[in-house]
Amino acid sequence: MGTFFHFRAMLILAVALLTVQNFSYQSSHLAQSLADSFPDENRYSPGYHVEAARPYLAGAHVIGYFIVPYEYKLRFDSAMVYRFQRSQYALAPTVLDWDRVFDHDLVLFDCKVRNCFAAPIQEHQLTVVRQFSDHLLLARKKKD
Amino acid sequence: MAAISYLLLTFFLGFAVLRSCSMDKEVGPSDLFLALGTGLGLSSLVTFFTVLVCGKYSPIPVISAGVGLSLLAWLIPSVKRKTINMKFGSAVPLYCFLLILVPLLIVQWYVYAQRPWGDWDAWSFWNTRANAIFRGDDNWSAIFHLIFQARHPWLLPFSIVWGWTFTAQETVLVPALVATLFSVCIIGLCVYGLAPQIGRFGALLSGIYLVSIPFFARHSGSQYADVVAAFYLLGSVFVLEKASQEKSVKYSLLSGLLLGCLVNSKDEGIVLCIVLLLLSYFHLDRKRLISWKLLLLAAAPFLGMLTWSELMMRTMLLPAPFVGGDSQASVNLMGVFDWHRWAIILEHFFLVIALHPLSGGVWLLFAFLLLRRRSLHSAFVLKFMLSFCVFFCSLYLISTGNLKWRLMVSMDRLFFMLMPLMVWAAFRELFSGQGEGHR
Repeated sequence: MGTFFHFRAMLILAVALLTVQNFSYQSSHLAQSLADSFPDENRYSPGYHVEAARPYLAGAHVIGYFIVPYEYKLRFDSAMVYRFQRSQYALAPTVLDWDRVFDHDLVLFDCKVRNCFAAPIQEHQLTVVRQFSDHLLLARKKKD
Repeated sequence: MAAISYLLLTFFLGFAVLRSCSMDKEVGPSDLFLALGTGLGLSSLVTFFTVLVCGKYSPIPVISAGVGLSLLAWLIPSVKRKTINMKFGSAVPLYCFLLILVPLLIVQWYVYAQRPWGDWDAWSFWNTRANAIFRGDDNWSAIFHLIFQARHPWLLPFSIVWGWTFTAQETVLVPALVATLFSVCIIGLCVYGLAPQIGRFGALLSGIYLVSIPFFARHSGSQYADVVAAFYLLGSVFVLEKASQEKSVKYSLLSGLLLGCLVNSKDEGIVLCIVLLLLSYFHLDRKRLISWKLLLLAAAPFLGMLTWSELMMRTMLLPAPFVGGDSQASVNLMGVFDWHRWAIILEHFFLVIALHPLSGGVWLLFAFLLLRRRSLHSAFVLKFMLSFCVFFCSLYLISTGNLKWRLMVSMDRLFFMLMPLMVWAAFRELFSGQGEGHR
């Protein structure tokens, strides 16, 4: 019985020491852990770069989302996923479909390089609804 | 002002329900934290129901429904008249509790200052859903289809929308406040729930230790749903034990309500609830600590909430899937015999979770629980945690795809959900025999 209480006293002491060690770890590592791996551009307003398109999407439930360079998505590049989710955040509840981009009436082009729109617009016979910048454009399918 | 009204109505809603459920003459400090957590869950449920009925979000019906439900719960005649015991000092002095919270609030404040919209999954997943609902479009339900989820936990997004109803805009304050409130409720429930059983010194130390765990402090401020699930898990075990001790029908129903909140807060919630109820039957019922009738009463609200939300989502709301169709992980049962997978899981568990300084040595307490001659209730909690770990290890073994990535994005969160329960059970065992009940 005495051994057990001795063991328990040791454990309580161990917990107290762990607590001190934990606080010390928190104070020295917290800032560093937060500084890593998170792009600053998201910090204060996720998806601000596509906000301009929002008024044009009223009533649109699902739209195509063309992100360039497109093949990055297939590599599950975290920067591309991040860019997609940022745009989805800003444009919710309109759903962005980046798998079947040209199946929808409206397509939002979100390019990292300038003027990437021309080739896909011509190929899929789209008309421009509004070009917001060299990087962002909204297009619609031509009606037959 | 908006934040105060939000807090008051949320608390009142939970307190009214708890008051009608509790059989105690007095409502003690631990019940206040339980009430706040219950209020956060119920307000989310009310918002969900109102949005379903109206077809889209609108603030006036949401607030009216919240006030209406609070008054209804308050007017339900209770068996005994309750008095509110606000004497925190008889358990743990309030100023001590507030002092415990200071380091946690400093860490959370720092996290919020760095990332006002939360960590990646918090904004891209939970806050995006909340945005979609709050913006009032009738297309809000499509957002539940978006990102790689088999189910559609709605509790956190609707809880955020409930808060935005009071601020009338999508402010960063509400998701942060929700995360802080849930983490404060966890610590409050741990400290004031343990105090009558193990005495104030042990209870205080449990709170200080929980706050000191770097992963707890950091992750609770990240605005993920893990802190929500962790609270409902701790709360439902706490209330289920009370139901067992007092043979109380109403506590059984309350634990069912908390389990219902748990199941709708994260996908893993359904596994936690089923394991908890099954184990309660096989462990507590066999030891005659709780009857199967009380467990059935606990299962009823949980199954009701689960079935109702699944039916609503699957049959009435969701369109055919159009995004993330390749997300369904396939299953390879031969993975169980693949020792390489075992090695990866164990390596990840020990190097990234158990032995990492972020876990704050919580596994020492777990080992103590394993080694110690235990009370029946502690043995129950231990068996529950082990069953849950075994279940998820099996999932890791049989699921195909990138195992390392799956471990990286999910194992630490499962660990976080169990952490408060682990601390609670270990401290109860460590300081057993020092509370009021043992004097």
